[in-house]
Parts: sequence; structure tokens; C-alpha cells
Amino acid sequence: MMSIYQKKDTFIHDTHPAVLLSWFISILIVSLIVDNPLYLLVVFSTMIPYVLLGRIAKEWWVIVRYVIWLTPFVLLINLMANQSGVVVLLNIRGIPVLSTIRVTLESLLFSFTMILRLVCIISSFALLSLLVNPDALFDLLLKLRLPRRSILVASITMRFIPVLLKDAYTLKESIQIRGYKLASKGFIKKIKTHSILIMPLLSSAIDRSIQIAESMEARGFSSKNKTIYANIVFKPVDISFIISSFLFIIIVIWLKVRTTTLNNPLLSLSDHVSWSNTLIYVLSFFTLIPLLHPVIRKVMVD
Amino acid sequence: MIQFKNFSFTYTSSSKPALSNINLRVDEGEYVLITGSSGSGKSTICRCINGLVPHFYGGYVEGEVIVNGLDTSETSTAELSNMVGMVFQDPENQIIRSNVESEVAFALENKGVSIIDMRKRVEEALDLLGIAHLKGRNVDTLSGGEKQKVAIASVLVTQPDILVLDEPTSELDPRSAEDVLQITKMLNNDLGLTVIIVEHRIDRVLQFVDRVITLKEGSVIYDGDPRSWVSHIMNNTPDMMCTVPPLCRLGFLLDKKNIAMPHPPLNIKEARETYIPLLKTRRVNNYNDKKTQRASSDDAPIVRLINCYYKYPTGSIGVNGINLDVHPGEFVSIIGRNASGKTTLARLIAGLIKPVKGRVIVNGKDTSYLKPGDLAGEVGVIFQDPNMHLFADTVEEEVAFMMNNLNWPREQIEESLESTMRLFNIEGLRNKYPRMLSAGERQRVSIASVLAAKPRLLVLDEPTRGLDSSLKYSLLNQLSKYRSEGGTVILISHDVELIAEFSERVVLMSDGVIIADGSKHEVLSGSLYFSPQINRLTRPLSRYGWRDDLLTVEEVLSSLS
Repeated sequence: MMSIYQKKDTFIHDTHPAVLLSWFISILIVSLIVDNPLYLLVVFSTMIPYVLLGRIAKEWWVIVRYVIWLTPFVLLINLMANQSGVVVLLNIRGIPVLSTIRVTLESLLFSFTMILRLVCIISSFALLSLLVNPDALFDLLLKLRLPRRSILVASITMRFIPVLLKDAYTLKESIQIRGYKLASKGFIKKIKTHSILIMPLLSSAIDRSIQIAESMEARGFSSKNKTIYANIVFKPVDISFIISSFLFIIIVIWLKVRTTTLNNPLLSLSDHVSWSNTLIYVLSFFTLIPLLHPVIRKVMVD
Repeated sequence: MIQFKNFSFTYTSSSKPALSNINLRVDEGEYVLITGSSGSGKSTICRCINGLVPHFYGGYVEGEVIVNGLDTSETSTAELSNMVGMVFQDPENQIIRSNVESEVAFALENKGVSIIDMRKRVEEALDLLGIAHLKGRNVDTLSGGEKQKVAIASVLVTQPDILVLDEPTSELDPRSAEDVLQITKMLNNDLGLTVIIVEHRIDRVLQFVDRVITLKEGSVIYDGDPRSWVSHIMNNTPDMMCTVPPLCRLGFLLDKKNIAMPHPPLNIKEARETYIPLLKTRRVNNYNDKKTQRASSDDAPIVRLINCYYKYPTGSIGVNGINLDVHPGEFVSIIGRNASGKTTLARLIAGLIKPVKGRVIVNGKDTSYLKPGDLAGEVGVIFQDPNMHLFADTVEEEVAFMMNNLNWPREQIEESLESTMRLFNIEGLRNKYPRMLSAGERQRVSIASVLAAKPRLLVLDEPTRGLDSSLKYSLLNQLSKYRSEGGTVILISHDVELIAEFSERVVLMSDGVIIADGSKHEVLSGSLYFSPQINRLTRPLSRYGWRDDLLTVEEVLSSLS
């Protein structure tokens, strides 16, 4: 079952959508530019309080667990593609086309970093979708004057994911009760037997999209000069939290350019006490700052 | 206000016109019902009024449609949306935003209304429909009826002059349907809105309308007031008699028994005023022997649920301690409001889900030890949406699909294929792509594709949704044939009129619990929401020696000496 946003009575859910969005952007950018596995591990660990305090552990895990399935592929592809490094751990000979694969400590660490990066990115997307009301998020994007059509398409897609998943589930039940065996083991076998669901699912998605388009058209979507109903208010406290997230991004980018700490996994592992490394670890706790937002906002606004 | 002048329309994908030479005029403040069989052009005519035809669909147009003095072919849908609000069949597929407030404001945003005006109008629209308490809610948490009210609010917010509703109650339980129709009448009475409604459940809406328009193959075959419509159908088209609400049908059949009826009543109150004085003095038969008996309980039950519980992963309760036996040959109907656990019960019986506590035994097998699909061939399941059954490229392959999966011998498959296609009258469609068929044809193919494998038990989850009356009766007659060959039927439906006619036993569910289980007479009679029209009408007659549990027109007629 796909996890979707559900309003819960936690203070995290009351955080201003713009604060959570800027937090998400900072996590995303940092996860993309940093190559240091220890630092990525710290970034990942800073997401855990959001999961626990937002009471979304079950839903978050439903999304993040897919990385487990991707791990062998990421590891294998990286080990085959990246054979540089000096500390050779293993030489695998007689492999067709590639002849020999050298498994080095550097390539292994690189693969590990890639997996961690993937975990951070997927986890941050999961947190964004589980903690921020999609309507509030899309209203915010509209307020930021991003293209209305694209935002609306994204909004409708988000709304229809659970509906289409429900269709897929019903189709699966319908075909099983008619004696068709859907493989539950074996990747290729699973794809082969499940492919019968694609056409009906596609057809159902097309039917729904036509009806949605009709409904939009009947309510004047093709008019020009639109206005925005959303009333998202930015208080100085919200803006300061947003600035802190972007400040964090700027510092990490500066460190990336000026030092080697964030780049070379091996170097950073052997260089724990450098000033930049210490700064990075301290800075990573910047990502926890949005947790304070609802409390500070309440105090300041009241 | 609305005028069709020699209007014809053909979709680009078809060579046959969807509407042919339509000449109509709808005046301001009228409440108009459009009826007709599936594919007769009802939805197309609605889409002509707000300009979706031809602007959205394209196609070939002849003649013109004038709305408030504007030719719809030359006016954009955006401009027409200021005058015409349209509510579609499926609330799920017309709601665009996730939040009720944003959804209601959507049309206003498109029109560039200022935020201050928007706030005022959103509040007004929500108040008008009595759903202000839903304002901050996520639409996914609303019931079907609430969603449809939100859909109505989201078109009324622009203050249109005309409200067009295309089968707005087909997805709703009786109570929600009643709520939605009452609102349309209130809008027509209090605000003077012109209402045009397409509805298959004519019994629900006939009392509200000023005028009925009947379409057949794209042409208007009747246009007049509702009482004359009843007379027209009963006198001129007996094959469409099933489309006439039971209250009105009773009057005509009584007339044939020389009990003169002044005019067909349109609601229960009128019917009581008309029928009770005439019937209370009549002598009645000894009718007790006519009471429906439950099927023999000597046979071992084909379905047995023992203290059964089911909880969804989200934590909501599906069924909560259910005990139920269904014996071979029974026709059991399950009723209850939306989300009362009916569909969960059907899925448990089909072995698609397993109880978290208790046992489900089907045909002697405990489903807890079976994989999904292990009951294929023994239990057939028909889901609400026929599209959920269509996987093959041709109708013939679709009907043979289950038998092939069960590895039946070739000769046996062919024999069953031919007889089933004959039974469902789909032989002429054998090489057609199932998803391109009409709604009624798709429903027939989906049921044929399950019945061809001759399951001992058939579970149908609202199979009549969106079907016109003649298709519904045809489907139920086919189910009766299946039963006469030894099959057992479990039918989930909101259509109490149909259940009253065809079912024997009725199970009423609420909040995952069975709150009544008995013969249809025991369960349906005296109920506030789930009793058929005839029962509501004839209850006062019990003071004059009549049975108080009459459910159908035929039962009333056979009670007369």
C-alpha cells in the first residue's frame, strides 16, 4: 500500500510548508553534492527525529524499504563501472566482455556512498510527501509564481496515485479469482505474469484523466487571468527559518569548493580531526532546526 | 434559456450520430429529467449545454445550441462555465484538489475572482449545501455523498443559471442519493436554478421534476410532464415498463383490474392519498402462503463465516465479528450504507483477503489456508466496475479466459463458451475489443466471463451501478437462470427495488456488523431507508387486513381477491 499524506496531530505537521520545503531542498542538495559517506550518514540520522516526532515511521518505512531492493543493483553497477583505486580487495577473472573486475576499497566505498545518497534522497522525498499537505505545497508553489499548469498536473498526479493503486489492486484480485496465477517469486517471472495488468490499468488511467480534464474544462480552466485562493502568510520567523536552510546550503557548497573533505571518501575517513570536517558535523545539525519552527512561531506570534 | 435547433452531433470516432435532429427548448427555472437507455445520447446532450461538445470532444455538428442567447459552438467553455455548472457521475473523477476549500474555490480562481470575493463565495456555497463543517477536510476522507455535495458546491460557487447533473447518484447509497436530490430540488425551488438531470433511478427523481425528456438512439422520443410520461410508457412501450417507478406501475396495473386510478402518483404521499381509499375496502387474499421461504437449510452451507474479523492495514475495521451461513441455491442480498463492510465481506468470501480472527469456510475449505485464486472455478466474483474484468483482446478470449486458466479441456471450453455467449446475447460481439463496448455490453461480457466457468457461487458487488432499468432487469433475469441451474448468488446492492423483486434473503450491514438477517420481507419491510416504495405505500393498509410486508407491485396485485 502506497503511503500518502495524512494530517496527524503532531507539531511537525503544523510546520509552515515553506519551512519544510526549504528544509527538503537543503537535504536534497547536500545529499547530491557530498561524497563523504560519514557525512551522508549524519544527514540521514538527522531525518530520524522528523520520522519519530511526526509519527510516520510505518509510512516512511514503506517508501524507504525500496532502497533495499535497489542496493544490489547499485553495488554491482558501481563495482563494474568504477575500477579505480589502489587498495585492491579482489580480482574476479573470466567474466565475459569485462574479462576481469578489480574490486578496490575505493570503489566499494564509492558504491556505499551512492547507496547512502539514494537513501537520503528517497527518505527526504518520503518525509516531504508525508509531512506536507500536498494542497498547501502546491498553493505555496503557485504563490511563488511557478507555472500553474505544471503544478496542477503534479497535484492531480499526487491525488490519483492512491486511486490508481486501488485500481491495480482490484485488477489483481479480479484476475486471481479467475484462476490466473500471478508469480510472487522471481523478478522476471513476476514482471512477465504481472504485465497482463498494464493495459487495463493504462486504460483506466486514461478514462480517469479524460474525466478530470472534462471537469476542469467545465469549470473554466481554459480562462485567462487567474487568481490564487491560497492565503499563505509569511511571518518574519518563517522567513528566518527559510534563510537558515539556504544558509546551510551555501556553506556546504563553499566547503565543497574550498576543501577536499566532502569529496574524497577515503581522505575524509583518515582526516576526522580537520577543521572543515568538524564544521561539517556541527553544521549537519542545522537540518534539525526546522523542528523548532512550530514552537518558536507559536511563541513569537502569540 | 436553452434551445436546441435542428441539432445533430457525431463523434469523430463514430460514423453514427450520437444526437440526431434535436429540437428542444428548456425555460428558466425548469427541472428536467433526461431518460433513455445506455448509449441513447443523454450524456452527450448534457455536454452540449456547457460546450464540452464540440469544444472538448471535437466531432461533426449540424444545427445550433443556444444557451442564454449564446451559440455554444462559437462560445468558449470558459465563458459558458459562467452560466452552466456541471456535476458528473463519479465524484472521485471530478475533484481536482485534495482539500475541500481549495476544490470549491477552483472555478473562482479560473475566473480571476479576487481573494476577498472568493472567500465569501466559498463560505456561501458550503453553507448552501450544509457542508461548512467539511471545509478543512481532505477529500479522500469524505464519503461518496459528501464528495458529490462538494462537487455540487464547486460548480454552484460561480453562481450559474443552469445546473446539469449527469447521473449524480449512481455511486451513492440511498440516503446520500436522497440528500443530493433534495439539494437539487432546493436549488430549483429557492434559487430558481434551471436543473437538468440524467438519472437511471427514475423512482428517486420523478417526484421532483417538471418535465421528462426521453431519448432513443440520439433522438427525442418523448417530451412532456412526468405524469404523461408514465402514461406514455405504460400505454405505448410495454417493453420499457420496468423503467417506470413501482408506485406509478401499480396504478396502471390496478386500472387493468378495474380499480380506476385518477392519475399516476409521483411520490409516496400522493400515492397514499390516491391508493389507500381505494384499496382499504378491498377484500384481500389469504397471503401468508406467499411469504418467501428461505432456501432449504438441510444442505451444508456453501459459505460459513464464524466469528469473523477483518481490519485493514490503515487500522479501519472491515468486518467486526460476523457469523453468516449461506446455503446452496440461495439468493442473498447484502445491503447497507457506504463503507458498512459489504465489499470486505465479499472479498473474504472470495478468499481474496483472510480474516484476522475467526474462520471463513467456502465449499468446505477454510480460506485461511488458501492462496488468492485457489477458489477460482468454485467462486465467481463480479466487481462494481466491469472494466476491472476485461483483460483480453476479444470478447471470445475474455469469456474463455477463466476456463483456459483452469486448464479445462478444449471441447469443454468451446461448449461452455458458445452456450454462455448465447445466454448473454453477446455472440455478435465475439471479435470486438471488450473495452470498446457500451456499458451494458461490457457488464454482460464481464459476467459471462465468470459464469462460463460455472462457479457454484457467484458474488456480485453492485453490478447494476450505472445500468439503465432494462439492462438491470435483463441481468437479474440471467442471474435467476443461473440459480435455476443450481447456482448460489450473493448480491451487494443499494437498489432495494431490484432486491425486493429478485432476492429471497437480505442481510443488512452497518459498521462491519450484521444488524439484520432474514427473508426480504422481514428485513426490508418497515425500514426507514431500505424499504421499497411499495412497502412505504402499503404499510397503512395493514390496519385494514393487508399484509404489512408487501414489497412489490406483483405482491399487491396478488393480494387482491
